Amino acid sequence: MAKQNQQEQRLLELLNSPVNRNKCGECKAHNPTWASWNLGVFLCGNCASAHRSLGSDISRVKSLSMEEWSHHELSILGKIGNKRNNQFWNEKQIPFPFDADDKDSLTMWLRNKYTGKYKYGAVLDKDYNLDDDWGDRTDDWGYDKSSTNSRPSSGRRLSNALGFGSSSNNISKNKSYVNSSSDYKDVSKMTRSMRRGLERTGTARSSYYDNNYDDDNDDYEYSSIRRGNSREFEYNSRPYLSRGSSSNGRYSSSNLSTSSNSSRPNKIVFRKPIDAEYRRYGDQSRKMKFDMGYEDEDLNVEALVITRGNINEAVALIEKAGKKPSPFNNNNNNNNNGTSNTSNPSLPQRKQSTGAIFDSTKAGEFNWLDDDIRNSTKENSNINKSEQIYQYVDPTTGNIYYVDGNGQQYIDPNQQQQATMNPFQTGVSYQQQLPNMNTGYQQPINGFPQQQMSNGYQQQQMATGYQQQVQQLPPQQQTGFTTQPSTSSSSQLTLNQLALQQQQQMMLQQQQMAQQQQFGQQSGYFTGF
Amino acid sequence: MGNIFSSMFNKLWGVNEEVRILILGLDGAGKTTILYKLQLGEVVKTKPTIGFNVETLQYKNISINMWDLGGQTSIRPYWRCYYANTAAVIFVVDSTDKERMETAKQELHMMLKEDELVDSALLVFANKQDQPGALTAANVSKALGLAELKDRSWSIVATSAIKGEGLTEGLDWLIDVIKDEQL
Repeated sequence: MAKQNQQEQRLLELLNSPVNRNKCGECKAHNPTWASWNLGVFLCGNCASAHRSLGSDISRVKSLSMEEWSHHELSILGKIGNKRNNQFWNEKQIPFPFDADDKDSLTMWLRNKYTGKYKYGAVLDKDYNLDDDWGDRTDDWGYDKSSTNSRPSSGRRLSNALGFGSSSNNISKNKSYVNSSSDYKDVSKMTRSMRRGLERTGTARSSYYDNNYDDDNDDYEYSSIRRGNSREFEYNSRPYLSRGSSSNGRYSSSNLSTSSNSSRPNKIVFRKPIDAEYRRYGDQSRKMKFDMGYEDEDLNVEALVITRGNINEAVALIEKAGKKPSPFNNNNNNNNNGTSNTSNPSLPQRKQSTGAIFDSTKAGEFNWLDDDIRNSTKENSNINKSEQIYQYVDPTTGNIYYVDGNGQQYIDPNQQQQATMNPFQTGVSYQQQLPNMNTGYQQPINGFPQQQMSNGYQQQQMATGYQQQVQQLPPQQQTGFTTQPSTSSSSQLTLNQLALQQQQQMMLQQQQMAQQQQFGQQSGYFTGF
Repeated sequence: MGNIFSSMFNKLWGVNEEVRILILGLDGAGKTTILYKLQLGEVVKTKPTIGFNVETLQYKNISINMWDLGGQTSIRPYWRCYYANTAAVIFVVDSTDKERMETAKQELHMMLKEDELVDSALLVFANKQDQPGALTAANVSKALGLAELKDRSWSIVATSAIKGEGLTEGLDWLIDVIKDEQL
């Protein structure tokens, strides 16, 4: 019973460990109740069902609560876990098929995953952690003749237990499995690939780990036998894993925790996280961004990498790290630090020149819509630099003011001239104004109010047929009459007028020419209604 | 009226109304798949059974009550609750799972020691024959020590639940045995 408790305890530990996070290793559902011990992945009910259909030569599914777990199984499950399972089997990061209606897609995905379709390298027998090769090195009724496999529990050895087989060539227990790897490789490559009808090439480099199971040793630490440079070769041959995603992805054995701790940075250095880290912590990062207001996803991801996905700790880290060195304040720092310079996202850009109100071309060199805010603040503090001028249009009068960096106001000399032409202020008639518009006032910056009036005015001409009277009447007298819209400000422009505006601008010149001809003909023609 | 006729009919053909059959075996052997392959004629996606599935199927004028019990280690002790009035046991073995043959053997023999199952027939399905590397029926028989069984009518059939092979052959044998014993 105590043993049972120990197993439960150990399973719970594994389940809640950072690499498993109490989630299904395939679909990431919470609270998995199953696990495939040989593949080292925890499973929800659905995925367990699909796993079981893969067959027992690929996946050995066990219930977490309803089964007894052997040390052997627990140790493999503990050494692999969800994270390393995915790093190993899904190097191409093929996404999980979340399709509740299509159960076959899940099975297909799992089958592809566990037959090595999502890996770059080849898959060998020992990747499945099922070190039995019954079907191929067996005697007449299927039991292993040589029985060289090193199993931790002697009870598993059927041949002995049943008194069959066991002609026992007795290659010494542990060493045979790895050290006679050449034989093993040949056999395994042949057998497993023949069994599944899969072509597999490659060498023995795709193993979870290079250690043996020690039969006599009852704890979870297994003696690790490393074969010279092969390990280095493994790392280098996998670009993704070797790029130091901090817990170097192989199924390393006893020194896993220490090595990952030592290589993992625990301080925020404002680096640019790699793609894999984005993918892994994207969800949490976005959660931090949208729920908690930590806008910088780079920073979030970096902190999450450090805390292995713990949001609360990541927030604490970010708070502790303080502000990111801002590009606004110290550009020089960033020039030294190339990485963070590139990591700054560009500021959002607005559309250029929003019509008539602000015209960047007329406002001097400074385009404050498009330029950085920091420049403007700089200009404000810098009195000498007075070339930067703001433009301001009074919406009621249509006058345009310029404000320079010192806060001094100017009026455009043209503007004054223009203001005198405004018929509503000066009483100058349209006949005088229209030629002017023809020359200089079609640009939105100067002529906007007048232009609108002329537009509305011309529309009235077309719509009412009163053009002769309207044109000849002084504007003051026109108020209250059909030209009412033309006296209003831009806010009262109807949609129709707006639509026509563009067209009319193009036609303006011709029309005004025509009007002038009309004036010539019509002057003295009408004096009233 | 219909009842009378049907009971007369049944008596004529010497058929009991219902036969109770248990489907047992280790987890993942394919018990649920076999049950629904027999009942529906199709391969369903199964989840590991927690508790049991019961289906009634008409087979050769016999209505068979099939109980498919979950095979997880810790729920195997509850099998005994279902032993009473069981005409036959279908024991399903995953032929590819050589490691657990020993476990299967132990479970089988422990089960057959029960008093309530003394008279029941035993049909072993050496399942998953469609998988490469599966043991043959003869090898499974050896591994399970079926030859040691005394005073019991037993049989072993190589089956593939997914392909539906061997299931009806096994069931035919079982029905014959049940009829013999009940007549």
